[in-house]
Amino acid sequence: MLKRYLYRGRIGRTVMWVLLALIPVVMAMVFLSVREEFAQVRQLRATIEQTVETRDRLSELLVLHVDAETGVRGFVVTRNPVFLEPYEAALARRNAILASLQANADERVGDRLEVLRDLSNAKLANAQRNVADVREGRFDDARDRIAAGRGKAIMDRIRSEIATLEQSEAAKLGALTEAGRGSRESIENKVTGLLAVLSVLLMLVTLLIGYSIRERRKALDRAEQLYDRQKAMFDGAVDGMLLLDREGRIIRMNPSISRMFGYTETELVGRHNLDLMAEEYSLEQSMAWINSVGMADEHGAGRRQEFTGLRADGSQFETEVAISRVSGGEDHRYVAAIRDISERKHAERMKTEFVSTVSHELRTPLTSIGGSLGLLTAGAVGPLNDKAARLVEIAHSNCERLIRLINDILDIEKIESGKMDFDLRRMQVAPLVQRTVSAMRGFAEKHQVTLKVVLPPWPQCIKGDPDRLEQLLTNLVSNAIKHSPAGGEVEIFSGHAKGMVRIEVRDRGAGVPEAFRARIFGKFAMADASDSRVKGGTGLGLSIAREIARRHGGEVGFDDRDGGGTAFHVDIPTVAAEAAPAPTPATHHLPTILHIDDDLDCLSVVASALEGKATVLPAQSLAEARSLLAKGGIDAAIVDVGLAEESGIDLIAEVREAANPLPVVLFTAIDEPHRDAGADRVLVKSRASIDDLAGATLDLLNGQKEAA
Amino acid sequence: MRVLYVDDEPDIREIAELSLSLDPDIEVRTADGGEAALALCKEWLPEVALLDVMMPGMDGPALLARMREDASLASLPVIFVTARAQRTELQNFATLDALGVIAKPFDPLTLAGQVQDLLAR
Repeated sequence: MLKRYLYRGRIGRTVMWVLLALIPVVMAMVFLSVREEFAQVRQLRATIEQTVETRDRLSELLVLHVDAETGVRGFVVTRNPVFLEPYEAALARRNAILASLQANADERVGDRLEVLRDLSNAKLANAQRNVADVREGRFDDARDRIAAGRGKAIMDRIRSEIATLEQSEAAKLGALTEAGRGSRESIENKVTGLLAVLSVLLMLVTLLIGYSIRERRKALDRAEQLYDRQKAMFDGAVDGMLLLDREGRIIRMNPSISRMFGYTETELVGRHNLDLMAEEYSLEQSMAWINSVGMADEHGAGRRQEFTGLRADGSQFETEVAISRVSGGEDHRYVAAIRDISERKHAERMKTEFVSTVSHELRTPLTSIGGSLGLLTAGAVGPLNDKAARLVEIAHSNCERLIRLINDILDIEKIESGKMDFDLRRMQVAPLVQRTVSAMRGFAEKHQVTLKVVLPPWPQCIKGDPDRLEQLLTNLVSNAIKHSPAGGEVEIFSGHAKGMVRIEVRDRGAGVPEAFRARIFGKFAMADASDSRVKGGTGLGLSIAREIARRHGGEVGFDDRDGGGTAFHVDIPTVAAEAAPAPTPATHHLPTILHIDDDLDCLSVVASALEGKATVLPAQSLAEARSLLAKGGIDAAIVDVGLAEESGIDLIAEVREAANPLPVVLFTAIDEPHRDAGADRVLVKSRASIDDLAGATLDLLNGQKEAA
Repeated sequence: MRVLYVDDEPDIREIAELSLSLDPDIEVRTADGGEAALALCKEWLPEVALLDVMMPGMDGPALLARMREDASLASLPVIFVTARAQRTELQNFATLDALGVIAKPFDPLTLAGQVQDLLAR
């Protein structure tokens, strides 16, 4: 878990850098502590040396005085001046020792040293007097003085004083040693702690480095495996594979390239990929082309294109190249997969030729058969008897069915191979429906079916191929007629659904059987075998209809109708009608009308109907409408009830409650009374024309003006 | 009105002749190929020519080209009749200086009307 956490991304690396940075810090702290320890030890040693020296001096001072005393006594007893040597030495040495002690002494010891110096002076003065007495012959005086014990008393005091001083020095040394031990212990603890921290840090860093190495090794293994797999894929591919540098030179190739182009690897590597193409591109063109190639994604290769391949022997063949950029920063490369499609192309040409031949070879005899039968049926060569007429009619209708079948097969083939041209242009739905219906009238009459057309009052604009859409609609209408009972009605309705124009063809037939629903748009799909005979269909009509709809970006479908029958529909994407002209500055005196409708077509139609009479502000949602209302300056509103997930009624209530209520016209597709909504006028979309709406709105505005 | 129908298929020539003759104003003659058609044009001076597109030897477009080279036939209205009613080809014919295209199989009862309509345009 920790491992994973540490090695996902930069966190692990950051932790490691922090740990590594801490190591020198801790080491510096250890170094400083140790140095402090050494300094203290040095100081302690100096103090000890000083104490020892002081004590030595004190001892020497004592010995000096004892020797001087002993010498003087010897001199007094023997009168031999030899005994005075220690005394004279003491006189000479004493001051030096005292000075030395004074130098090392602190204040407290200094006072005691003064006492000692006085005692020493007294002692030496006493000795001097004894020496003087002896030299001047007053031996008894000297002896008496010694016997009096004054010298001994001074000596005892000196001894005592020196002992005190020595004790003081010893105590000082003890205290220092104790203090030194304490601080040493604290330093020891500190250093131990720091070393422990250092150990932990080193351990962590070691662990991290260990993990890192293991992860790297794993990644390396994976990379190696990946490389092996990709090498196998590259070398083993049936398609020719090239690895190109950014200028299009060949870096690597697979054996299929050799097989396809007849070059060995050594011949090709380092050469430009243009050498494999028959097309005469310049190096610049090639570079520009290759630089436009993207990386492969879920949609496949970065770029696919057909080229003519050029073999080593100069022969040519058709290829399809799928090329993708391989990421790698500045020095990116390209992988090109080259497929020999000459066989496919050949097959395509054969198919096209076959289709062309079939269409010609079958239609030619059918022209003769159909023509003859048509002329016979029409009585162009004289009357036939009833039986003959019936037989000729059967032959004629089946000939026509055969012609339809051939046409449908050719259509499906053309659509599926992408060869059917679609001449897409901006067009209106109403003329398309009218044209289809008038062409189908004869057929409907034959089946005793009436055709009813319901179109919206505003133009519906789509982008489509009028001929193909008529073919589609004819299919739907003829199906509906064929499946309608005699005396039935087929309704062709045009409206909107989900941002598309929906043309619906409704019949009152038997409906689509459950088992047939899933494959109704498939090829040669018919509800049952007898169906085609009865109705004369080819089973391709709906399949063609679906293909045509899809090529328009739309779709076909069907629903059961309430009360029986089926409603087939085709949805074709709407295109905006001609853009409404921008309001000119001169329109400021025109009334401003807010129009709320989620249907763009309706918005644009109303805007054009009111052009020059009012400025129309379109809104597709209540939120949009509210923000326009908040800006003010609006004189009236046209409101659609059925907005996407909202109701225009809500807005009417808001407008009514406002301090200065607006005149509102409700324009709705829902044909039921909305009187309680509080609108001034209610118009139903399929009943009132756009001009009615414009007129009603303007009347309302004028009426208000007069009332004011 | 004199109408020339050119097709290599004798059956179709016959049917076309019958169909066009349903219109009492139309007088029909047929030819089985390009050379015969050109010869007949010189001699009979048709007012409109219907040419099959796919014919052995000289096909419809080639025949049209030959007609346009001849000053006397340069303005003769020509209508193609084809069994290869593919839209791209139809567009090609339109650029070949033809009045229009009638698809095979044609409706024998309305063929004369289609020709009249194309001429009236």
